[in-house]
Amino acid sequence: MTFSVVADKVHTGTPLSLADGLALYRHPNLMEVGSLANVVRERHHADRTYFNRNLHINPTNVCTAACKLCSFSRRDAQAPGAFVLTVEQAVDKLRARIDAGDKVTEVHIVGGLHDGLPFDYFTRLLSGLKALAPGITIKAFSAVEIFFFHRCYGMPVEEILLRLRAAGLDSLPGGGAEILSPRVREAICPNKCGADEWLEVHRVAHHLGMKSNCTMLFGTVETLDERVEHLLNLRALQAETGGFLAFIPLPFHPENNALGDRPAPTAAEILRTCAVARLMLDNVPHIKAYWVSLGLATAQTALWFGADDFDGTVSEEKIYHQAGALSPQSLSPEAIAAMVRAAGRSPVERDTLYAQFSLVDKREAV
Amino acid sequence: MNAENDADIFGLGRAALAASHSAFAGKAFFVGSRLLQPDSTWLGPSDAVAAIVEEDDLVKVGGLSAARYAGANTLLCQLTSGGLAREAIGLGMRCLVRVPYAAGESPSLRSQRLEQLAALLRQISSIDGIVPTPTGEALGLDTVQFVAACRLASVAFHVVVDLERLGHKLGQLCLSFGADELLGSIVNQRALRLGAHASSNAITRDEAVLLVRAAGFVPCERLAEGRVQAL
Repeated sequence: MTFSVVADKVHTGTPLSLADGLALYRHPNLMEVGSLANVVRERHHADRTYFNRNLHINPTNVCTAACKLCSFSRRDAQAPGAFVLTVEQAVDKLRARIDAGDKVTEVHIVGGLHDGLPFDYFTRLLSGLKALAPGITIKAFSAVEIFFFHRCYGMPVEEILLRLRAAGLDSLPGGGAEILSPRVREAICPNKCGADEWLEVHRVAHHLGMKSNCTMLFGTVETLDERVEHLLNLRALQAETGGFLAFIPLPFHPENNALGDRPAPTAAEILRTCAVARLMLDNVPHIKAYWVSLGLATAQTALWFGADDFDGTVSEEKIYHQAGALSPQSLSPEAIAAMVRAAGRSPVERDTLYAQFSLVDKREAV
Repeated sequence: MNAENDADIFGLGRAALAASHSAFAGKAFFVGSRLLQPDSTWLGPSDAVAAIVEEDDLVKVGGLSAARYAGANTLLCQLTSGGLAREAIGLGMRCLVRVPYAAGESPSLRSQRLEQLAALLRQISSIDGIVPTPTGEALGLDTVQFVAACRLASVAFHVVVDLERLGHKLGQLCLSFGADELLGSIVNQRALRLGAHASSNAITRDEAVLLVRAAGFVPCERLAEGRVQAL
């Protein structure tokens, strides 16, 4: 498959195949792949680059999964560094941000698979946050956690989602997808839900009218074929449900985990993956450059390699920083806007569901 | 505006990359460094090939000859220091010129600086390379665009990435925008990026090779006495 054939398909809006994706990954010139992805990026979004004001809460790092890729989890509650927030402690984190004057619009919650917590811990957590800030959007619990709840509490996935939604859940984050391949999951996260189960949780959520994100953790043991097949799996579900809002490429971070002897993906590989994702996932509206994971410089550059979203202000991020991320713990909206503008893009503040937007006025920038 | 920016960024990148390939035949270099500090102690691995002294530290270390006597073999000097560059080259040192840039500065200021650089390189052709150097926080796109401009202003010279200032991710991206050499602390075994090492930009030799190769270049390591080994 030649690059020019792939480029022709992109220009005519023809969905790309596995062979096309591999050709993009193997093309020797990153600049050409990036330039092509930028065509699609600007077709969808012109020079707009989105971000929001969000707070991350990790209720617990106690986790039964013991994934080799993870630097965050502790196997049991007595292990050094293990924690479980009370509902009040978690709500206080939001209260502190509000009291500090932050106009947070989203709370992002992910945590370990803790088999010692009652289900109502999670519903009380959601309702507590909503009681404090009724207008806030809660994006919580990856598909891995939802499937764990299904197993742990003996309820169908649909019932789990309905109960969580009744308590305040608005949408699902995209984590836990890793690579949607049985071989890879067996190698790096054998105790997590399988690829089909991850997809099924999102399918159910979408059928219930909930939106979600999707991710790909790359740079562990997967092949390029498996990466592209992963993207095709996501595209197929999106064609069926239309429920994904954004795709987030997540480079593996090797510090403090059982895969630490592997090198992290380089910046060139990160940019290429952003670009390939933009080109393969023609039906997913947004590609997110999650600056916490990518690093600020790479994330900013990614805004020309397919990405149109910078994620958010993010405070309290723990998962990537425990895996060696060197990025700051949080960014102000002004700092994000300035960085987006310095990239030659127009910063647009959004809500979680990309339903409300406000163009950030240049005069507000730092 | 988008098409214009697109042409700027990708057009600039393509031109700079082509210039780099033309000058160095698809090779990119890396070299481990240590730094002579103002108190005359060395910072960095003792077996580093590049033993650097910064122009700003010369007075405190007793001058260029004293630095040379202490083992410095590379001078990092300022754009305005042509005389010092000549002196260092006369002492058998490798001379690299720092070219400053700052986020948000005017394009005309940058153009003036690049013209100044081109003039210096015309006057002293034995300067071996230039080091684009941020004077504040290094933003991603701003940096790669400036690196590309530096490459196009100094086609036959090495455009060297200071990994200590830019970090390995942005440093690698610079290779795709015309840089051809990585300069930084190269260690046998990197400490975990935790505690005192949380912000360390030291990399291992294998990581340096990976950065260069993953950017699409043939990695070449600078060894002692000016030798270069392709890997």
